[in-house]
Formats: sequence, structure tokens, C-alpha cells
Amino acid sequence: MLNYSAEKILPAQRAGGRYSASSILFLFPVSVLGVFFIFPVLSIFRNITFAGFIDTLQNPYYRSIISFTFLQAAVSTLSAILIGLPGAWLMSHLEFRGKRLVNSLTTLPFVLPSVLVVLGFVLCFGNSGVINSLLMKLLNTDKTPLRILYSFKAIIMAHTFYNFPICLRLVSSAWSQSGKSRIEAAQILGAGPVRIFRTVTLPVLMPAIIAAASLIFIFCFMSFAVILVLGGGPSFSTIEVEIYRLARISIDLEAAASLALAGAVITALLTYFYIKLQKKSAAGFSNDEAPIALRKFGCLSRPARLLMLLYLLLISLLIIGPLLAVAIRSFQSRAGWSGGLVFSLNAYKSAFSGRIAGSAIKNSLIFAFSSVLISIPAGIIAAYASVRKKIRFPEFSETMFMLPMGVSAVVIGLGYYSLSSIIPSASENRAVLIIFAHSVIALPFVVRTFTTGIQRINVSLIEASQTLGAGFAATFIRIELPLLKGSIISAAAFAFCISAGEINAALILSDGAIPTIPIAIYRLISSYNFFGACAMGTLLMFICGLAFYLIDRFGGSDIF
Amino acid sequence: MKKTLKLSLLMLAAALIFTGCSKNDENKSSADAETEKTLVIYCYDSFASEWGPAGAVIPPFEEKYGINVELKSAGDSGQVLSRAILEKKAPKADIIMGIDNNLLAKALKEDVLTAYKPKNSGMIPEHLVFDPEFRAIPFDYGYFAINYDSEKITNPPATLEDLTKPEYKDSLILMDPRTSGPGLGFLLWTISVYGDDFPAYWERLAPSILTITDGWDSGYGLYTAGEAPMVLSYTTSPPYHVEYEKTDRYKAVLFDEGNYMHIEAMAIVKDAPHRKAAEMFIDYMLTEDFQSAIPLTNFMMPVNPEIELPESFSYAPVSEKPLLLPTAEIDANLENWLQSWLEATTK
Repeated sequence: MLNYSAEKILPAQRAGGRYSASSILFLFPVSVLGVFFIFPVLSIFRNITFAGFIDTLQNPYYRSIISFTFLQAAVSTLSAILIGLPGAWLMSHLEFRGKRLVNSLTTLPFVLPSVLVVLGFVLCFGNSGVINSLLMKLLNTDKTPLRILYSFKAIIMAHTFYNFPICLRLVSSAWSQSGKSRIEAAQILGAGPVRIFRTVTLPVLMPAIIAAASLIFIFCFMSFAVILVLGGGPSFSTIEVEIYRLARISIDLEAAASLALAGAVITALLTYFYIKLQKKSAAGFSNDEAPIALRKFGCLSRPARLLMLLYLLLISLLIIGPLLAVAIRSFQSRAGWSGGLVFSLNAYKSAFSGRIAGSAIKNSLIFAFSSVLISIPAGIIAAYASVRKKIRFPEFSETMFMLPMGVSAVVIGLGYYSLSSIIPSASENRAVLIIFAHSVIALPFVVRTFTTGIQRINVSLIEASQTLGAGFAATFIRIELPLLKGSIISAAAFAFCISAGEINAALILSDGAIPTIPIAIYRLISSYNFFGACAMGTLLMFICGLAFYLIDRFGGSDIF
Repeated sequence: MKKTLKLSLLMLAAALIFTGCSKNDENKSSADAETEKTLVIYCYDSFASEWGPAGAVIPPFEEKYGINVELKSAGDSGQVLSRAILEKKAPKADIIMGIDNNLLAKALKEDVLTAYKPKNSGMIPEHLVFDPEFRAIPFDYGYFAINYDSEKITNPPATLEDLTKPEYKDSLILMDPRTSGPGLGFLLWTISVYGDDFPAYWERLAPSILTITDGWDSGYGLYTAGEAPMVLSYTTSPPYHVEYEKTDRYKAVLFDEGNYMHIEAMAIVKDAPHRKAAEMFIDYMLTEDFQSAIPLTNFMMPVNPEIELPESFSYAPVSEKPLLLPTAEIDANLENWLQSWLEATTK
């Protein structure tokens, strides 16, 4: 089997005259990134003086904060990848009832605002949470049996919960095309399962694992509420906490910008390194194999079945536990002068009786669907341009598209004020601003998903198609796009939930005038109505779960 | 290939030029607006929310004075001030809302406020006027207080020192002063009681603290979810539960040493585009129309002492020993205090 690496085919394409077309196409993602990310961020970064920046880097306190931020992100990433890999195998190799549902559920933690994630976690795993209350009854004791929260391990657990779906999605789509015939060939040649995994499967999965790891790492690097609350206090402070302090409490915008720049430089360097590594491991591999045939759950050996059931139980507890806790809370209210909890629909009545609920739902849906429609083509173009080297410095371009995740949300928020002040305040304009901002925030996920997808496409197929006279567009639409179906579905799910759960851009760019579901949740909580916030949160999960289910179903993917 | 790079750079340049153009636009739009009798207010988000005071206080003002109010919520009160600072050269807001004792010093340093003494300012009790020059004009206030769940605690603490008792081990949820207004309020509370010895108090307090959260939201959420029986909040928190949940389970307690105050003020922005309208709004803010909406929408105490409080506010105790550190002292020491606090809490 011949494997053409991306490098080999390029000279042939370079000779053609298609650059102007692809250059113009590439302008689309670049200008979206430029206007909705680079411009607002630079408007804040331009306050930085060189001396101030150097001071920041030399401050020993900030250095220790940065190294802790690094450490927790690295451990969290490792944990999320390890927990995600068995799930990726499961989703790519087995056919079982409820698979679509599991797949839809895994992306849900993404859509909840962090306050509700934290609340759900505490309701489930807290000292007075469901698990501990059950154990206390079982063991007949008043002491908390399992002290899980308020420690370093709680941070790692919550980050794992939040992020392993990224690994699960990206890796399972790679695994389902991991080369059945090559594995069979290795078996015939006498290789054992461990050796096959190491020499055949792992190299195939590596680009996807690296892509997932880079996303997870940056996500944890920027984490904030989860770390403070579940870690138990200031012993676990990350760089984002300090940026927040400088920007919102000390109102020292220059120092906040300096620290944010330091964080951005670190994540950019790291991303660049990840991308180089990914390219290296992707070279020489292409997707020329039929997808792996799905096996029925019953076909597994008994120990394997037991192991899988145990794994499913673990992730259900981890994912469904906190989400379910929020849902259950939404059906409760206080009763009687002593304030006990009873089943009730009051939360829904109070959250949905006002004017805000209807428009919040409508806006959230419009934003989420529009962000999918913008970020998918922008992401395909950006990924395509850099994987096929249609542009100079493809790694640099990929790094730039990852940065919306790598710059402090607090600082981007300040930058949005500048963006907002140059656009007339008609609400249609505001809605368009928000849609584009959401698309940019989703781009890191979308671009990463597509780069792994495009890397897997066998370039000899494209060459063949072009030799046979199909044009650039025809080849793309008839050959490449169908091969990217799985990536499109994953990317759409990510983009949808990132937009549906986003609050910073939606709040600031609309001057608070265009409510979304997360904004409604935030406002309910600031007016003490936590039950109502849980009701809104449950609705948000329901809408997103349904959307993912539909995307999966009507995307017609046979990968998931 | 090169074209792509060049074009990308061009796009970036275009994005940057936007910044330059923006200022002209600002001046133009504010000139137009002046004739239309508008007033631009930057407020914190919960004020503008459906459940906040805006719905009750803005429409009557618009009707009475024929002024169109553009209420722009800019996140929390820190963000409101940041936004005004970023727009300093070409102010777009007339009034900013949510300036408190801690933010005032930053606002003065950046020179973004202008003084205005409202005609009816005499009614504001003297101890609430934290800026005698009236650049920040108070509209509501409250006391920080430890709230407790009376189903779980029968013997509530009566002093800051009581909180350190072993019986309250892992019972208290606080907020981080680096990221939360109430968190900062509690730190200043301990400083006004213990002076320079406050780090030692925090070390004694450590065993009682279950967790220190990023903001009031998650802290109070954990408390009402039953994770800990005590939380830092306001004296005016229990009235919410009485008013909307019909329970007096959650109570606030006054401490013998006194309770630290939180006073929220409005301010007129320096070079505000609609100065006249802004003054009218500040005068209006102290009238009954505005002040009577405060208790049940903002869950704070109105500064106008004439206002009759709703019945649920009998569950909000009134401190006879209000504590408040002077703005200048906070400004001079805050960074050092936060550093000592960090050292004490991470030991």
C-alpha cells in the first residue's frame, strides 16, 4: 500500500494556478478572526508597556502561579485522555443500544455555565452531596465518609468530567478508521495485541490524541471557577484568577493585560509545539481503509464486557451525576416555614413566567445554529489551508486559530467593549456581532477537529480525482467532503454547545440587551433564584442534548 | 502564497484602523443624541435584569422627564468602571452605577468622575456618605453578615472570633477577595477589627473554612444546597427566603465587633455627553419612586430613610456598629493586604 504524505503531493498542486481562489477563501476565516478576536484583544494589549511586561515575568509570585497553572493543566489533560480513550474505543468498535444517547450526553457538560457545573458537582460529590448522604445512611454515621471535594484531586476530577468528551469524540472518529487490514496483517505476522496497539493502532490515533490533548490543556489552563471552588481556596490559584483580580478588583488594566499576554505567549508556544508534533505523527499515514466493522456488545468476552460495563458506570456517574443533580434541583422548592425540599414545578413557573425566557431560548437557538453555519466553513477552510500547505507558515496560522482559547476571557471581555463601541447599537448589529464572536470562540475546536479529519484523507484519492479531470471544487465536494462527515458532525456539536453556553461575549456585545439562556441563568442566580437557574440549566441541557441527537441522526454518520 | 500573507496582514491593518475611526463616530453619535434627550447609564448586570430594579425605576423616569434612557449593562461593577476608564478620552456614558468605597479610589485616580451634589442630598444619613465631595452618590447599602442555616446551627457565632471555634470546623463558605466584592468586604471587615494582626486571625479561621469560592454566586449556591451551614452574604439575604420561599430557615447574624458596610453609589462621568439629564436622574434616584423599588429587587436597604420597608425586611437586622475603612486607606494598602491575606491563607 502506498502512502503519500502531504508533502509529496504538494509540488504538483503548487504548479497549478489555484492559489488565488484558495487565498481568497482563506481570507474568510482570517478576517473573522481578525475582527472578532485580534482587534478586541489588541485594543487591550496595546496598553502594555515593555517594562510592565518584563516586571510581570520577573515577579516570583506570578511565576509560581504560572507553574501551578501548568501543573494542574498537565495532570488534568493526562487524566482526561486516559479516561477518554476506553470510551473512544467503545464508541468506535461497538454497537449497542443507547449509543447515540451516550454520545449526546458526553458533550453536555460543555454547555452549562460554570456556576451550575460547580453546583451540580457539589450536589453530587460534596460533603453533604447525594453520594455521601447515601453512604452515611448505609454506614449509619454522621461523619462524611468520602471527602472528595476541596482538594487538588477534586480539581482534576472536575476537569476530567469537563474535558474527556473532547478526547472521546476526536479519537473515536480516528479509531473507527484505524486500518482493519493492517491490524489483520500484523496478526498474521504474529504480533500480539499489545504490540499491535503500540505499532499499528497508536500511531494512527496519535494525531487525534495530540489534537484532543492540546484543546484540553488550554481549556484547563484557562479554568477559573472550578479550580477556586472545588480546590477549596487560594492555595490553588491560577493565572486567570490573578488576571481577574487585576482587571476587576484592582482595576489595573495594564497589569491585567501584561499577565494575559504572558499566558497567551505560553499557550501559543505550546500550541505551536503540539501542532508540529501532530504533523510529524500524522505524516505517512492516511485513511485508505474501510471503517472498522462494529461489533455487538454481546460478542465480547465476559471479562471485557464486565470491564466495559464498569467503565460505562464510572463515566455515567461522573457525567450524569452532576447534570442529574441540577435537573433534580430544578424540580424542587422549599416548603413550610422550616424550608424543607419538596417536589414542585415552582422553579419552572418562576423562571418562565417573565418576558425573558422566551426570547432567551429563541436567541440562544439562533446564535448556536448561526455559529455552526459560520464556524464550520471557516474552520474547514482554515484547516484545509494549513494541512495542504496552501499558505506560508501553516503552523503559525493554526496557532493563531487556537488563540481565542488561549487568551484570558477577562481580557477578551474588556476588548469587546472596544468592538462594541465602534458598531452602531441597533440590536440586529449586536446579534451579528455575537454570532461572529461565538464562531471565533468555537474555531479552535472546529479547526482542530478538521485538521485531524483532513490529515486522514488519503491524498492519492485526490490526486486520482484530479488526474481524471475533476476540478478543485468538484474533488472537494465529491471526494473530500463525504470523507469529512464525521468531523463535520463533531465540529458542529462542539460549535453548537460552545455558543449555547457562552456568556461573556453575549452579555458584553449586546450591552445586556439580548438575553440568552446562560444570561438568564446568571441573572436568576444574582437575584437569589437558584431553583429557577437550575430549571433554565435543565432546559439548556435538554435543548442541546436534542440538538446533538438530531445532528448525529440526520448527519447520517455511520461513525457514531 | 505571498498574496495570502499580504492580504491577511492587510485585514489586520484594517482591523487596527477601525480603532482610529471609532473615536470620530463616538463624537458624532453623542452630538446627535444630545438633541434627542437621551441618557446613557452603565449599570451592573443584575440591576438591568428582569428581576432587578430597572423595570420598576426606569420607565417612570422616562415618562416624567421625557428623557430616553439607554441602560447598558456592562457585567459587574468592576467591569462598569473599567469600561468608563477605557472610554475616558471620549466618554459615552453619563452615569455609571455600582461605584463603592473600594472602587472609588481607582475611579478618582483615573479621573473619570465629576462631582454633583443632588438637591435632596440632605436626606442621606451622614454615615452613608463615603465621598463628602459627592463624586459618588449613594443609592443603597447593606451590611456584610455571616448567614447561617438555623436547621443545622442552633448556636450561631456572635463575634468574628467565635467563627474560629472548633465546633464550626469546615462550616463556613467565604469568597476570594481577589475576585469577589463580598470577599473583599469580608477581608476589610477583618482588617477593621484586627488591624495589622488580621493575618493571624485568618490563620486561626482556616479550619472553619470549607471553601473559598470565586464569587458570591457559587458560594451562596453551595450554602443553600446544604454543603455548609454558614456563608458570607448580606444582612438583607434572609428577606429573600421569607418573601419568595416563605421560610425563615436562613438567618443573618450581627457581630459584636460590628458589621462591615457595602454602600453602592452612582456617579456622573466626567465630560458626560448629557450632563443635565444625568443630574435629573441623580435627583430622581433619591426620590421615593426609585428608592421604594430597591428592597425587593436589589435586596439592599434604600438610602432614603423615609421609605417604609416591606415586612420581610424585619428579618434583616440593622447593625448599630457599622464599619467602613476610609477610601484613601484602602487605596494605599490594598495590594499589601491582599498579599498578606494570600500568605496567611496558603500557609
